[in-house]
Order: sequence, then C-alpha cells, then structure tokens
Amino acid sequence: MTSREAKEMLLLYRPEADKDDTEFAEALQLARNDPDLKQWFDQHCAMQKALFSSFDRIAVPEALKEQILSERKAHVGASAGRKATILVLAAIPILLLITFLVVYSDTRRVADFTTFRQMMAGKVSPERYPVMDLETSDLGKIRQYLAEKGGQKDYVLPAALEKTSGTGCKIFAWRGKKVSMVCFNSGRNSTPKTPDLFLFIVDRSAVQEPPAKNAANIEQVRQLATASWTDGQKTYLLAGAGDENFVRQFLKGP
Amino acid sequence: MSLTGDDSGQSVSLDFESLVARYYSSLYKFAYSLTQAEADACDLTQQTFYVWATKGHQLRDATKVKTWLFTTLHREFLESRRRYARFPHYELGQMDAELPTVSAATVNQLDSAGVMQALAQVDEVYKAPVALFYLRDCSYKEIADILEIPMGTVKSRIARGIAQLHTILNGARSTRHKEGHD
Repeated sequence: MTSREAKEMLLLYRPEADKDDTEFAEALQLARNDPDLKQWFDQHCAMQKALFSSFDRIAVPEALKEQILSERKAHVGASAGRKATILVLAAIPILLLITFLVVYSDTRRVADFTTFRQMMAGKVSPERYPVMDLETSDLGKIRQYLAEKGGQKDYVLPAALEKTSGTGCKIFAWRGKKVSMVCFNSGRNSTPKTPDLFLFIVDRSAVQEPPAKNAANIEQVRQLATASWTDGQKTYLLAGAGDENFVRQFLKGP
Repeated sequence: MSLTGDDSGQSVSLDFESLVARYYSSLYKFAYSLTQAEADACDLTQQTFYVWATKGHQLRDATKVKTWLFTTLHREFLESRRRYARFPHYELGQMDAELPTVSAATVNQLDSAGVMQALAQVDEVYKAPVALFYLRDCSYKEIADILEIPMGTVKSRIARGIAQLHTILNGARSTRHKEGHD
C-alpha cells in the first residue's frame, strides 16, 4: 500500500466507529510508521473531529416536533371530517358555520404575534443562529441587500441600534411571509463577528394582534430578552442575549 | 403498534409519535445539510413523516424503518431539485487533485455556519453521502441503502466529498486571512 492509497483509505476512517475494522488496519499501520503520513493523519483526525462536532451542533427548531405531530393530527381529522360531511348532508348550513369557526380560530392561533415571537426567539442565541445570507458589519450594506433581495425595505431602527455594529442579515419565510433578520454585535464581548442582538422585521399585516405602535413590549423568552413594537406598516422584534435592561438600551431614540 | 428491531438491533416502536421523537432531529440535520435552509429542511422533514403516515404501512421489514425514512427524505430532496436543475453526470475514476493538507488554523476556526456554507459548495452528488457520514447516524451499508447506490460508490463519493470539503474550508480560511473581514 502506498502513502497515497493509505490517505485515500484513511479519509473514510471514523475513530470510534471504525477502530476495530480490519479494512483500515494496513493503512493505520503505515501511518504509524511513516512520519509524513502520520502528520497528515493527525491533522486530518483533528479536522474530522471538528467537523463531526459542527454537524452535531446543527440546531433543530424547537417547534418542529410539535409541528409534525399537529399536522398529522390535522390530516387524520380532515379525513374524518370528509366522512362526516357525507353523513350529515342535511345539516350543511350548520356544518359550514362550524367549519368557518374552526378554520378562523385555527388561523388566528397559528399566525398570532405571540407564536411569531416564540418561533423567532427559538431560532437564535449567540451560540447558534441561522447561517447568514450576508455577513457584514455595515448596516448600510445590510439595508441595501435586504431591499434588493426581497426583504424588508424602509425599516426604521431606533437611534441606539443604528449606532450598533452589524454582523449580517438573512431573509427567510415564516408561514408564507417574508421575515428579515438583522444581526448586531453590542460590543459586550470580544468577538465582533458574533451577534448577540437579533432584529426580526415583518409586515404588520403578517401577524395577528401585533404589538402596540411606538411603545416597546418587553418579554423574556427563555434566555433572551425581547422587545417588540410596531412602527407604520412594520412590526419589529428585537431579541437580545441578556436581561431587560440590556435590550432597553438599544431602543433609545436620539 | 408492533415492536420490532431496527437496523442497529434495538427495539423501536412504529407508533407515529415514537418514530417522530426518535428520528425527527437526525432527519432534520440531514435535511439541513442538504439544503442549508431551515425552512426547506423543516419542510423536507415534515414531508417525510407525512409520506410515512400515508405509505409507511407498505414497509414490510420493520427493521428498515430508519433507512426508509432517510431514503424518503433524500428522494423528496432530489425531487425538489429536479424541478429546477438537471443532475450533472460524474465519472467515478481516480481522484484528480492532491489530497488536501489541513491546517491547524482551519481546524480552530471551524463553526457550524462555516461548515454548512462549505458543504453547500461541494459537488451535489457528494453532498448527501458526506452529510450522512458526518452525522454519524448511519453505517456505510445504511448509507448505501439510503442513497440506493452500491457500497463501493458510497465510499468513493464520501472520500471525494471529504477531500472537496477540506479544500473549500482551507480556501475559505486563506481568503479571509488575505482580504480581511468587514
């Protein structure tokens, strides 16, 4: 076996899963005896360890499991509902009224601002957050990017937040509505590229019961303090890795 | 619902809720590795369980439920991709480039976001086997079953995919080092 052949074999080596696999024995022995190959293999294992860890850290949305289960129940319920419709044709007016009330209330439950806040706060923390579409500290570039790529335009930031360094932005869909996320670094930590403030901007019409206009509503959601407000036709949700006082300082005007 | 063994020899319930609890996280991570988009990954995961709910009763060997779920998710992903692009055809021969040397600095700077961005740049045909490799949920045989390709092809694609991924990560670090960051 040549050194190159050993490298090709050892690319597939997983230290825990394959340690007893005889298929790798010859390549491992060669790596022990060849200093250059050993050095390559040690570095490769270090890289692999970090990569395995990176995949382990992929954050799973907290509400996903419940979403799967609830949609299953809805599917089962819909099938039963169709059979019930056939059986009670004479009661169509009452059935239509019941269907309207169920759909209407279900729509409100799904799309209200409280749910939006829970879902958005569930996506972020300084340790994990969605991959950015654009990484930059320049808030002007972020604004331009969002406007060009179908995100929010003409949003208004509190003066204190305008002076805060950005880290990037992302556009994503939530219940069929576009949400723009702008990330900031407050300067509290020593890693300027790591966000600890997350601003979600969505059209006011996208959520039921949006927060009040021009008066921030403060709520603690797990490890994050959140502030929410409506300004014009936009609703804002600011989530910060800290307490209420931490978030409030970024709501101040000029 | 019946209890039977899965591929790893452990007992697993085929009850819908139990299956969701056991596999939704690893399925989501596989989906996210393929799409690099949370919303798309959620959709794929939900769609997989929807298909299970409607067609899972057709699975005759209950020990294959894990493979069945991952295969379904992968098929759903491929189907969504076919709507937009054709798959290029890859010849499987010797690896062309030198196997990358990994720098310690690259290792120290790895984070999940950077790894996902790098994975997005890996050739499409290598992405799924590489993702399954690093997720550590599946043996090589299971990966072959999930992707419906021979074992030899799986290993070849994983090896090439890993080599590409390492090269991309090294290149990304070099670029940031030269040009600085905003």
